[in-house]
Amino acid sequence: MSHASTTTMRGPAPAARRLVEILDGISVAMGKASSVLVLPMMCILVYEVVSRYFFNAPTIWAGDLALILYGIYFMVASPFCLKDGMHIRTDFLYNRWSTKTKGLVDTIIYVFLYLPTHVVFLEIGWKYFYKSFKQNESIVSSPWMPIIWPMKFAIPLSVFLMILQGLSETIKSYYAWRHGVFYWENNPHGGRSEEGDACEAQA
Amino acid sequence: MEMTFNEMLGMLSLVGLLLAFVSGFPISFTMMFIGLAFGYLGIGKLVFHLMNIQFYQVMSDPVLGAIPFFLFMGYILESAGLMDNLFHSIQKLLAPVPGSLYLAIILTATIFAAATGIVGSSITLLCMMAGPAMARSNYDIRMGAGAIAAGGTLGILIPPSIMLVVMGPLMGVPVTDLFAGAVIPGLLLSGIYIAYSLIRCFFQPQYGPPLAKELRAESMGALVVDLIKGVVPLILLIGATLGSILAGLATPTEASACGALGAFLLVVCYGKFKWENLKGAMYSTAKLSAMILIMIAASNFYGSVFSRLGGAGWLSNQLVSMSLPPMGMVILIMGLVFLLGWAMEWVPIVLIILPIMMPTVRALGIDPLWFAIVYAVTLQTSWLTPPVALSCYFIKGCLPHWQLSDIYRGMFQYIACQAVGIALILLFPSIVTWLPSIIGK
Amino acid sequence: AQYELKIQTAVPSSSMYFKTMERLGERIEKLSGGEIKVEVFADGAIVKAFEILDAVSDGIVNGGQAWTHYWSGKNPTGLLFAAPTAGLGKGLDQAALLSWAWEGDGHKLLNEYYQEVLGADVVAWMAMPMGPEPFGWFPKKFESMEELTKMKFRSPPGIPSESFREIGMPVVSMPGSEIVPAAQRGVIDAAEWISPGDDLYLGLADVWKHYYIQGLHQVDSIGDVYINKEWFESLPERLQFVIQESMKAAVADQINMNVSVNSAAIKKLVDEKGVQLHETPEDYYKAYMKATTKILDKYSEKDPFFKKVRASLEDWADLTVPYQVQVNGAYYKMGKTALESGAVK
Ligand code: NA
Ligand code: NA
Repeated sequence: MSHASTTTMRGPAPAARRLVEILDGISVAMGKASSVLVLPMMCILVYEVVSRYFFNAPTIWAGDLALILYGIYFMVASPFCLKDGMHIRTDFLYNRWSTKTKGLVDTIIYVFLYLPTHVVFLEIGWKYFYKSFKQNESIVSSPWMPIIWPMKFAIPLSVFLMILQGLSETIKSYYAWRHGVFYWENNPHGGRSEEGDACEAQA
Repeated sequence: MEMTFNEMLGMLSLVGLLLAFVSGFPISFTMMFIGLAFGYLGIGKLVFHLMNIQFYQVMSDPVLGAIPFFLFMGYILESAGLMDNLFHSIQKLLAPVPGSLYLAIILTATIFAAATGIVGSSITLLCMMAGPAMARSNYDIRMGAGAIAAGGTLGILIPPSIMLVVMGPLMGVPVTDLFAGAVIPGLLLSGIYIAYSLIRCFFQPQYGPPLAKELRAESMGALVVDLIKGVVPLILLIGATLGSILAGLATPTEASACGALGAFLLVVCYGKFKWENLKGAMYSTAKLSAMILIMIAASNFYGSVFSRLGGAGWLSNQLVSMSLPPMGMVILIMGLVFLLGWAMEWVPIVLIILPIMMPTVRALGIDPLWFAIVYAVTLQTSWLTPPVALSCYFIKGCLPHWQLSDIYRGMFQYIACQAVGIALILLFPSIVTWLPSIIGK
Repeated sequence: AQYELKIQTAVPSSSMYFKTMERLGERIEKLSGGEIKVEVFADGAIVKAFEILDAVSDGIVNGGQAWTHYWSGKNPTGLLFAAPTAGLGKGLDQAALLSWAWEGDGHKLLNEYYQEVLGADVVAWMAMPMGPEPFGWFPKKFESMEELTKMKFRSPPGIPSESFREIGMPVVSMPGSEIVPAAQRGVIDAAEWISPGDDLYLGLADVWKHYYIQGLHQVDSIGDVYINKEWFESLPERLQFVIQESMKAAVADQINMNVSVNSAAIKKLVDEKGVQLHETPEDYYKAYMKATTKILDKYSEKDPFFKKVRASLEDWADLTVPYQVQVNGAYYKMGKTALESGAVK
């Protein structure tokens, strides 16, 4: 992991750096793991089409299985997306603000809105999953009727991961606010390369 | 004019959303926060359950499952440089025509619309295909974004259209009539977009410069070889993907999965397969799918809070209680639909507002088929108008270096095209009614 | 109004069942002297059909309408209340099922199902008898079981579709909104939806012209209406009674409407759309009823509550079928005689 090429600044405290590294690491690992699901999803659906048209033998499970994987797939990838600053922003004003202002606004929103609402979401999502798990609930709208709770589990799981990544983003924003510099390479501020260049120029 | 506390909250939430977007915080979360805040004031902690259910509904929607595969297909082809080839060759073919890329974008979008109707996947694939080519050819980002955004929304109008399927039973018009009625207006809009793009580029070639002389093909023969080697297999792949949906061989999600596998095989055949590229494509697909699908969930959630609070219903009830001549009423209804389209996608606007309007529409003796299409065309703009402008946000997600303000500006140009289309349908109802009347016999 | 009742239905607002729900709402408003204000929402307006129970139980809305078999993913017994397939293979008909609900153990068992088995915080009534649902729409008149079992058929999921598979029919399940487009693309060969009235609106007659009214997969069909229990119990007893009696009146409403709306729809389908009605061959009854019994046995073994409700319904069938078969036979023969003699056109 290469840090931003700002040699002039002191950088965040080692503990904060370490924490961000761990939190980002979890999101990236989970995101990469779930990104692989696209391959089995693809193979399952292709198998269904081939078996239906070339062997006249439609399966009853392919569509459902792909659907369950799809539900897990994008939810668990969301923290990865947040870490790379890909949840898009309305940037008209934002882009004109100084790094300090951006950091301040983001810190406030992460602390007072993002984290509390995600904690409540986690509680509700967990209950939603747990009820389904206890009933061993299956998908009724399908002839195969597979169990559904693995997919529902993706809600509390991904929200929990979103909280972890949110903590990391809070630290990053706080640092940007206090020091006027984006320290981390993939900052949460909508930017990859261009934004990074701008930061360095500012620093 | 009596208004309950919740109805007022609903209207205020819209103002809140507009203001909150100023903070520049990621849009998906902003929509969640505003929905939660105003929803909490209106219905208490239940609003969290509503959010949970809305997320689950997106997770369990098989139609949206096509989005990751279309993205994957795009990324695989892009990382091997094949996508770029495609639009580059089209441009070579039409080298002297200014704005030829817009033509290619809108034609592809129209074919896409006839095949799937999934706005998110249509837009993302178009961005992948046309983005690099437009940058290289110095095309205008604004117009390019507008063409992609507007072209992408054709999917909910041109049959098969989920929106018309939902509207049919609500209005008591057979879905088959609605499908027939939507064909000509859909093509008309597509034609207006093309006409606007080409005419503008003809007079102001800087918006879509023709290919520089030195970049054009040396001879017709060289061009043909180029096309056969670099483009025909790709066109066959995309054609087979969309064709299999059109022919009913596969659902859009299945076809998109086959298309992704096909893209993979194509890259292998060209000898351009690299593990690094595959990994990159998988990671980008996962992240962008998350961005798009979570945004759909968040906007559905905000829309459901807005409708649960009852503001939209209140507005519509005010409207139908006025006594107006039929044409005045239709124009006013469209104005309201356009307005509501700022805050919501088409689903609540159809499910909640249409039933309130229908008795009035019937009482005024307005042809429900014609009205349905006018309503549908107006609704199409809900994808384009901020603050909840999903089309524009999808583009921003795929092409992050494009400024959102540029995307908006481009999109407004095509909303104007949309207005021309609506005006024509209002003035000449037979644009809608002619085809169903032919088919009915 | 002092109380607000928001009811999320599982039907589009054009459906006659939506009208029944609106009438129910109006009745509750008037009988409560305006103390309860009722709002009825079309499918998907707040949540989609399959999320209604969770939504009512959590209190996102305080009322809901759907069919219990929508929840058979949570526990398979749901099917038995709303649509005991093929009359449980024992000939239990719609009128008998309704009498089980209101005079027998039905209501008690239904609420046990919701409150204890599913742990949902709702009170429910079997208030919307909408059966019998037609067999479905076909591209041609089928002459044999062999011809029938070759067609890709859109069926509701669960035990009805398992029974179709058991007799060898390839079944597909999809939401109502997808049936017509799927049919036009040839994804399915035949389909069922709800009732002549609702089928007419869906545009099925534009795709297929052969309509079989007599079917078994949902020959009994009763929708239920439920209300958040905590909210219901917070009402004064007088208003609880208003709601309860309004539910009962909805039953009468629905029965009357079924005959008028469906008859008018059939007339329109036949006269204007050129639809042909056919009687369902007897082979189908034998095969399908046998298949259903086999599937029901499988579930009885797996789930004790399923077994309990099935036993209660079977007792009711033993009690009522001998009488009902005579009654239904008289009506059938009387009507057929009138049709054949030309007394009815
Ligand atoms: Na379409
Ligand atoms: Na909008």
